[in-house]
Amino acid sequence: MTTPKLATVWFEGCSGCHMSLLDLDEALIGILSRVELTATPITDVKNFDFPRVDLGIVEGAIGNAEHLEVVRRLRRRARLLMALGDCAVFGGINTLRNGIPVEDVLRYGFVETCSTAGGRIPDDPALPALLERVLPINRVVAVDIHLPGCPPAPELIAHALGEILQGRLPVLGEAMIHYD
Amino acid sequence: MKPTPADIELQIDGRPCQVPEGTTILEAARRQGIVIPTLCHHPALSAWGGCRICVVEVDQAPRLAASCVTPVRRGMAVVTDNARIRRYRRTIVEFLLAERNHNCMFCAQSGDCELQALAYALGVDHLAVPADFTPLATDATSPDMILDHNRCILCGRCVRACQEIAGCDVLGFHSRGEGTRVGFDLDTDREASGCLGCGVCLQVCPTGAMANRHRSHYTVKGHRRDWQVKEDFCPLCGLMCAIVCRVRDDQLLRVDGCLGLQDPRPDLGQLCRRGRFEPFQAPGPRLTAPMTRDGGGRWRPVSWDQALDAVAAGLGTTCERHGAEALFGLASSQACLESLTMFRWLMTETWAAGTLDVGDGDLGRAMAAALGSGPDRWHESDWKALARADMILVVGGSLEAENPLFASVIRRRWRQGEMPVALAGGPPPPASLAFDHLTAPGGNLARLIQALAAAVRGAPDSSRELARVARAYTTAAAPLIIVTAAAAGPETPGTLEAAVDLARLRHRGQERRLPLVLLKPWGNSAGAWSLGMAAPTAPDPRAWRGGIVMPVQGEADIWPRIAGLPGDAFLAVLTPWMTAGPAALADVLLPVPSWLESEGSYGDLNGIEIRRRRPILAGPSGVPPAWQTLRRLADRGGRPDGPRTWDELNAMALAAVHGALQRRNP
Repeated sequence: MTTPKLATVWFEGCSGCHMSLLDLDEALIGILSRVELTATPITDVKNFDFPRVDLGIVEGAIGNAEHLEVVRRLRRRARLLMALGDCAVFGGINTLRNGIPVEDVLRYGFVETCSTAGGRIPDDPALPALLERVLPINRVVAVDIHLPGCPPAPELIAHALGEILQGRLPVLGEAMIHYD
Repeated sequence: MKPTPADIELQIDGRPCQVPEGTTILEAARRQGIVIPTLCHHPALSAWGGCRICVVEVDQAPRLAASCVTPVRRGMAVVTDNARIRRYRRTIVEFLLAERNHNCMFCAQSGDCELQALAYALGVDHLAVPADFTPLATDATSPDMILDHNRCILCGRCVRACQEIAGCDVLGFHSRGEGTRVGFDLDTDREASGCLGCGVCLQVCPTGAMANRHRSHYTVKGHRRDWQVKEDFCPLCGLMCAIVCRVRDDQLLRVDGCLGLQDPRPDLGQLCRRGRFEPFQAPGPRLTAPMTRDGGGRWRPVSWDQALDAVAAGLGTTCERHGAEALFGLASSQACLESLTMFRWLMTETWAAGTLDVGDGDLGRAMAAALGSGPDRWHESDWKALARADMILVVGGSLEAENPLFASVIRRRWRQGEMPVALAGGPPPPASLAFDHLTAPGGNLARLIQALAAAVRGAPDSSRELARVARAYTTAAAPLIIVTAAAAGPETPGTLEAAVDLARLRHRGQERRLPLVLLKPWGNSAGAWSLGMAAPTAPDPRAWRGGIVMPVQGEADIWPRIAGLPGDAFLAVLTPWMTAGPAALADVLLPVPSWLESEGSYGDLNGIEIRRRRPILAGPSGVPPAWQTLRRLADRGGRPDGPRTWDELNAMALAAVHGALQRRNP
């Protein structure tokens, strides 16, 4: 059997879920020896042209046009897709802006905050546009595995990866599910 | 248990069982130890059948039944758990989570939330239905509670608790469909509504929709595993309501009532605003070290020895210059019996002080005078008579302000159509409560009560209103007169005597017990009076030149009485807080534990039941119990004899109170 390939992405989230992944500490060595990490913010290599992978892991919610495109591309290339953490699973803290018009969000963030003087809303065409609403990834693509938690505990991530490497879809028991 | 003929036989999860007719499936299952999850159900409230989490399969019918509202039937076969039932329950929870913004990460209730626990138990790792995300309003107008519609699942527990337990009926549903909201007086802010702030809604809310504003942030609250739960009673008003306190790191997190007791009290185990939220309000900065004034009159912390010496010297000098007659000791009736006993021993045995009194001594003397003495003495009714009363007459004052739980029980029973209620004097009732309201002619409450007594005796010239209340009072099987402390005070002289006279018209046979209850200002008023803490005659403050006051939490009636002390008079104060009164008048401040931090015995509203409570919190270090400080003051005064341990004080206090009760009820 060839070494399973893994890719992770980071959308609208705080990177806490990736930190939780790193929090696996020495267990990470065992996992990394059994998988090939192709694209991930951990290596800081900006490679969004994913090769075919066995497992795509998404941290963060879908908040702009780039997230939308990348998650769709990852879905096409990944055999299994995992939503990691509350933002990817439910939308999380980012959804607080849902219900506020995008123009108001931008104006508040770039012009009206008390620490801003002479601010203006960035309009470079290279910048991805915000979506009207922040969405959990299962509203955009099909998701195979959900690991909620803010962040999901390292033990939960280890359990899920272990199950997947053994060819099983992880089932979360009552004690493993946490939203906080 | 033997099945009675009325028992219904059925099977739950294959287990045969018998339950009385009319039992719900949920109740029958719980008796068998079978757990059916619920959300809108609460044991202290009526069944509602709103959330459908408790669905079960009955006789393999295609439609599931809500077990909380489905009565058992003979021969019924119930299945409480299988894959289909779990799928239904899980879908319901997903719908509830998707309908509003249940962001556990920013919810004060996370970790202590029934909806969250249910979602975990049912394996909700994501939502298959799209969440709505529309932000909803939050009502933070109350200083104690927040209503966050984002977390509300419309289970209606708060609505039912407000109606069925608090008897307040201010909470209800308004609008329809997805626009349905819980609202105060239909749809207004909590503080602008008739909400009395008792917080029973907060206690029964299964989510974070009714959130506590005190110590509910997760960094303060911590995890469930960090909490200690301590049960005791609230000593603030003499009703001794059971309280359940959550404590973490010696910090009080939450106070709850004891709803759904097997043997409920007249108030159904609720708490009032004071009992639930007052423990979180400090009246001033906390005193943790003894203080004296420096040359410039500024406060400075000193050692306990220095402070106690200063008190002994101050009292000694007063005694030399003006005689022991000029010494006074004034304690609050909020203090426990043991502290009061030590206080009395110190003032009378050590210093032979001219005055020993409690803050509400005037009321105690007025009550003793009105009830008479010796074999002709009358007695108050037990306050629990409220549960059996079929007619209530409230004399003066505002019941809502003086005793919210009395007010709650009366409202609830009036709404249930069980008894007529009449208010004599005091503010008019709100429009929703059509109580009889008699206004005192020219503000003379005593004359109003005398006129009512005359009408009861059959005076022909009574007004129609008066005659109606008199008839209700006369025809009721168990009427009860509630005299507010405000009405018994000096502003309305003669009212208490008039009320006692009116009550004597309805006493039964040879019994000396009157259908009358006086509301007291403090939690241990009756206990303190039984202990003999109220001076036999009203003391004259003009003679006072030096003394000790012990307000504990009960300052309100102490400061007015010493406001006229001459500037050179000596004053020592035992208090947990640095408040305006002590800061302005005292020469020495001695810190004592707050009631939450101390142990002690209290008498109930009638002084009949004596109960001992334990400390809920340890309190700041270096602050000994009040009785120990008083004991050391007695030593400093040259009297090392007398009670030296808590147990001795407890025995002395109980002997004194029981002696007084014996003399009263031979």
